[in-house]
Amino acid sequence: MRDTTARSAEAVLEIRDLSVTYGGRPPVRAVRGVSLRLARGEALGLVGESGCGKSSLARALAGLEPAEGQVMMNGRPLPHRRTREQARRVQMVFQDPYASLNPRMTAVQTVAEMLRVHRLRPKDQIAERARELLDLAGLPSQVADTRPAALSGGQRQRVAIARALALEPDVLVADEPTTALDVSVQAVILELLAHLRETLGLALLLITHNLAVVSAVCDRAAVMHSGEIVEQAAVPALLASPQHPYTRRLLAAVPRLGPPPG
Amino acid sequence: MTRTLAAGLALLAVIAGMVACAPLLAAHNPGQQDLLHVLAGPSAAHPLGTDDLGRDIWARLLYAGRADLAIGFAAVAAPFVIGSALGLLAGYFGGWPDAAIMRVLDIVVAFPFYVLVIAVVFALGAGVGSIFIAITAVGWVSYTRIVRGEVLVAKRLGYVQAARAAGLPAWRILLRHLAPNVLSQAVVYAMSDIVLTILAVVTLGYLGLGVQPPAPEWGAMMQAGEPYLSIHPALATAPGVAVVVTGLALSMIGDGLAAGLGI
Amino acid sequence: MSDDLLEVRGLRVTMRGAAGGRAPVVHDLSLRLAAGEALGLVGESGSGKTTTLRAILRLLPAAGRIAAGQVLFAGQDLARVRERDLRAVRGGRIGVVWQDPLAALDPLMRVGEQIAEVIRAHGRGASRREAHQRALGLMRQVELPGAEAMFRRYPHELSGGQRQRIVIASAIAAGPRLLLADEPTTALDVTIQDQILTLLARLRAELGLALLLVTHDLAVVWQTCDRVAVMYAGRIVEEGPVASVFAAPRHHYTRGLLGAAPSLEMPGVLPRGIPGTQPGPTGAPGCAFAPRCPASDHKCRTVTPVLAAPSGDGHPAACHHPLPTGLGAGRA
Repeated sequence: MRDTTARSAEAVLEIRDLSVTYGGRPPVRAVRGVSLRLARGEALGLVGESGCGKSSLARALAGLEPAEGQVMMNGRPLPHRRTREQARRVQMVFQDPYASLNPRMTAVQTVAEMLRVHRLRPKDQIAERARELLDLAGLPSQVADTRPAALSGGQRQRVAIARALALEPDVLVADEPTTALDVSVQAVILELLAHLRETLGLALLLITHNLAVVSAVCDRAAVMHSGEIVEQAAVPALLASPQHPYTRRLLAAVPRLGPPPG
Repeated sequence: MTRTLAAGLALLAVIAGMVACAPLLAAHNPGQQDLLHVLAGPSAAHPLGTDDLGRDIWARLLYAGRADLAIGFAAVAAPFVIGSALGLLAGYFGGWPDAAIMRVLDIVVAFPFYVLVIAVVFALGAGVGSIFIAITAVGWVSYTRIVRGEVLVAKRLGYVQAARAAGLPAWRILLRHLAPNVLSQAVVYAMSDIVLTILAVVTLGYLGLGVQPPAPEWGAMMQAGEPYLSIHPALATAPGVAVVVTGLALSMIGDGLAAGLGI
Repeated sequence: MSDDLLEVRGLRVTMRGAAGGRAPVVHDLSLRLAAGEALGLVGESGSGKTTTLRAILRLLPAAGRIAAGQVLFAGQDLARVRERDLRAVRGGRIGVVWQDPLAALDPLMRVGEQIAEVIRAHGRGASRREAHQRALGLMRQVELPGAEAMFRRYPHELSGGQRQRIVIASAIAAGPRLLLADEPTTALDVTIQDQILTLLARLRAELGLALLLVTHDLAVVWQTCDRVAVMYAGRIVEEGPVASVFAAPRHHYTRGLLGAAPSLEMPGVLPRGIPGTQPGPTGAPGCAFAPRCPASDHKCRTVTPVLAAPSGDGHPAACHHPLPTGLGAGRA
């Protein structure tokens, strides 16, 4: 494993030797001693195939899964059981836009609930702020008061992003956020994530099976295989000269739009 | 709204309207005896005739419906609320709360429904209060099972995960995010459960363990009419028909709701 | 053309909506496929690509109906033949590979038996032994390791890639001349996808199979197909040889789609999305892409463009203001 990360950059999130084990006989070690650093405003791509443990890692970071090892947020430990204030530091966007919103709540209600529970705005400003966030996420204002059933997949994912942003997190973990979307919509959502990262200084952990998505959005990429990070490098370097055999296999398998290499 | 649901609702509305307007639709008091005209056949004064004490069957049928419908609906409310709440808790928290609730549930379902209901009523003494307690003690298990299963599925979904990741308190996730989305199955079941409960009330009445005479009740009426089945069949069959028609209406509502909710 | 294996003429499919009315989901669609040729039918969800594939075999959902058009295959119009005659075609002379191999296999039947079942159903009196032997041969042909042991497994005991190989083995079991594949690799990991696409290419070459591949993934088409037809809102909007369409797209939607796909070749470059969303089924005149199109004008919103070849060289596109031929706006 190599790591070309500039050590000088301020780490907003650092995980050391993180493991996630699921009960059962025998127990399954989904994540095996993973260490990662994420600098403020950085976009790190976590790539791997299904079952490699990338989603378990994401869930552990968001406090949804108990894990061994350390998660450090701005230099302080972030435990599995979090206070409300600690919980909002890491927010997630999920893969399936059709399951990620409460079917009985409108877009505005979905976002407003976060603001209200965390008391991030005075009561009378909550609705206004919710609309502002939805606007920031690019949801047309005409559909801000509709329920998810009336929204397209892309629009739902925008609401989910606005909900995550409402808590003003330091780290946004996006678990396959565009996998369920059409290509033309995927591009728009990737643009939005890149834009938010730039304007809000958000650190982005983008989890995907699609190396091309990582190539478009991320500065650095970590390749995960069987619960371990097998290679970590800046994206151009990783694409140009993959070191680990698994990374090479993965890259060779990606179908390309253009004449086959060689 | 599906046609089945509309028809079921209409039928139930007619039945409920009739029993609610019993004083207007029946010329006689259901308890008023006329010992000179016992076991009379249908006449202008008594549309369905009279029973062995000369009471108007039509009046008793309507007033009995009041008792059966009211007890049926009311006796489903408690198991629905208690069972659903336990199902939410068991499904969401898992671990020891789940294990504890499910063990009790296993014990309750080990006995046949009627055996347990009758045993509880027998122990507590006949009467409306005992019926409520018995049906609640036995009936909650179905709601717990249904809701727990739904919660186990829903809690993996993104909106519940997002709520947890945002540090929302558990009670809020349960009430605001899970309950509204998992209770529809339980509501559909409640419709068929009312049928079952009314049948239980009728059965208990038939066995003399339910609503106590002289108050009219369909089951007790059937039991009282049984000896005269050959000479005055309306005495036992009229309340029987009433039970069947009410059950039909509720079943149609249940089926219609299920179809409408895509279950 | 006499060497066409499959020809779809003026296909129109309607679906019964929730409100009760019937809406067209595939409009006036024509395509042809020569023996041994591979055609990619590309589109986003809701474009009608899967409906088209299902209509060819008359396997539409209950709400769907072929309202007009012909599906000519081996001298028959599949849109008109009796249901009984279709059975010999489905899984017989036309093999099908579905998107979700787990759903396509019977969970309670050994996978080898499922292949043998197809052989017996279409094999005119093949004995159990023969069918068994031929199933094993097919399993080796799709490169399943340890065919004897694998034969006795159940679908849930296999990996996703192995299941799809079983589905492919069943699809070619009756010796079809045409294979229909609906997103055959979408549910699979990228390394497995690569293996399955390679397998499909090899089988095509060995067996002289024609392939109609329905997918949302342009790169999969590039890797697998000779020709491509791009669908949008129930119509084919552009059609031609893969190299020509990808190098010089003529429809603005095709160009948008090519630009929207993220690329490994250009790290750090964000793909450009297409603003707006694909409209639902509508019978309104005009180009369905007009609301999202940078080049649309009044004519686009009122007159439906037809799929027409340009006067010079180049491939057909259904656009009033097609992109110039030869000027590469695409990626390749």
